[in-house]
Amino acid sequence: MKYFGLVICLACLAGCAGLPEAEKASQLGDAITATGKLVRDSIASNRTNAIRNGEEVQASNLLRSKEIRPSPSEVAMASRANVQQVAGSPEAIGDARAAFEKAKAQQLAAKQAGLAFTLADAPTSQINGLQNSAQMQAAKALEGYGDALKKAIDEGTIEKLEQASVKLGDAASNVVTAASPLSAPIAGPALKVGSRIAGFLMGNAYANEIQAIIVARNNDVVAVVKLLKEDMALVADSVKRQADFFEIQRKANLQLIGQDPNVTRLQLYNEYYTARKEAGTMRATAVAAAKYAEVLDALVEAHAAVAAADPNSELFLKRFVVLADDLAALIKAAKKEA
Amino acid sequence: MATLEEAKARLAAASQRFHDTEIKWQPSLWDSSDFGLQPQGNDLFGNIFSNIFGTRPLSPPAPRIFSQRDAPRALRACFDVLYALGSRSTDANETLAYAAAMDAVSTELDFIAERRLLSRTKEYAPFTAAFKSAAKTLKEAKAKADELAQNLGLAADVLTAFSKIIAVV
Repeated sequence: MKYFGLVICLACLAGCAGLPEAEKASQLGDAITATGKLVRDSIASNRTNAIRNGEEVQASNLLRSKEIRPSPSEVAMASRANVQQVAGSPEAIGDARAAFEKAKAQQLAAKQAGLAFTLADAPTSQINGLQNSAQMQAAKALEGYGDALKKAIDEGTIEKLEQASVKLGDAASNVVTAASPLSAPIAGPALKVGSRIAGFLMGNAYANEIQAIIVARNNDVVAVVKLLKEDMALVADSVKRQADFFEIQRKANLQLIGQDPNVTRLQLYNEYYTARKEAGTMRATAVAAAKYAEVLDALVEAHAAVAAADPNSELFLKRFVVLADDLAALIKAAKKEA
Repeated sequence: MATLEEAKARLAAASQRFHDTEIKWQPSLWDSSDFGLQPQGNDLFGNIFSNIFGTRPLSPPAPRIFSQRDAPRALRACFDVLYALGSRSTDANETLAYAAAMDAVSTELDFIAERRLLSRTKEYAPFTAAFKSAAKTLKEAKAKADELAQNLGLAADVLTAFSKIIAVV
């Protein structure tokens, strides 16, 4: 009976602290990774979309330069007027001269405006300066914390501590057995129980330390998520506007291409298909960025679940079973000696 | 509902106040001449703004119609209208004009967003520092536990070797 009390005490001791369940820890790790990725990807999308939109604007400049060049008939008329070889009514000559002037003006406009395109990056609207912004720094710090947390929560550390302690107890027991064979039947199991308790205590101390850090940071996670939610709304909106802009600008370019009488229906169909796919790709970045609230809410939930200090029941049972076995061996040995 | 002329007049006055009193960060992007949108029989911007006034009423007439809070909302509404018009346009030049106006409005919105986002450094700073510190503490705790387990293992190895010597002696 006197051992029963000891068993209860030790069981309580063994279960008084523990790391969070592996599933919750894994969920937290995923949530933190997703948050970091969301912030980084949204900011990167904002930049790459601006560059892609700029390409369409430059392409549009080039297409317009072709559009405002004189048509072949205008060139022919202008040419005739220029060499004064038109045999016809004064009205016809007047029309030809007007066409020539128009063609000259159009060619000048094409040189001055339409051909002003570039092959270099010419991004359209975007939110500048976010690469090293406070939001990015916070997301990186959060990721660093999540990474350290995932490694610290790993059950392997506690198991290593406990196993090392038991190994030490076994080694001490071997020394006692070798030095004093008479006391070995009791001393061996007693040292084993002692070393296991020591292992549990070390494991508990470690788990408590980790848990304290998680609990202390829980309010910070809630606060930083609130800030990120407000800020990512602006970034997500910018990315959505870029997708909208791309759709309209790409459509305008398709319309310009469609104006060319030399473009076949098949070419136009293929151009439409390509444009449709590109618009879909751009739209996908906006859809991904718009998931910010969902991802950030998942982070708060996962962190709160881990901070709730719900110890791993499986680990507790495992501890209880090995401790009970060792105690049973000690009691058996003690009874035998008695 | 205000007539189109009244709406346009209100918008012009509000827009002026907006630029004069609220945002003096950069030259206005609202000059339609920048985008080849000069009225040519068809007053494009007039139609756009009348759409905004007609379907999305702004704040009630007041000395400060566009506050910094309302400005992004009004600009966003304008962007939506331009997008809707661009989606329906069947003429390349008209579509291009809508696209250019969309980019102009977007630039204004992004600039406002940029100012807001880049001004939040102080608000994030304590949390960023706290997470960095927590990560450092966690790494140290883990390293300490690993080291302890390793030392216990070494001690056990020493004791095992010692017990073998005792057994032989």
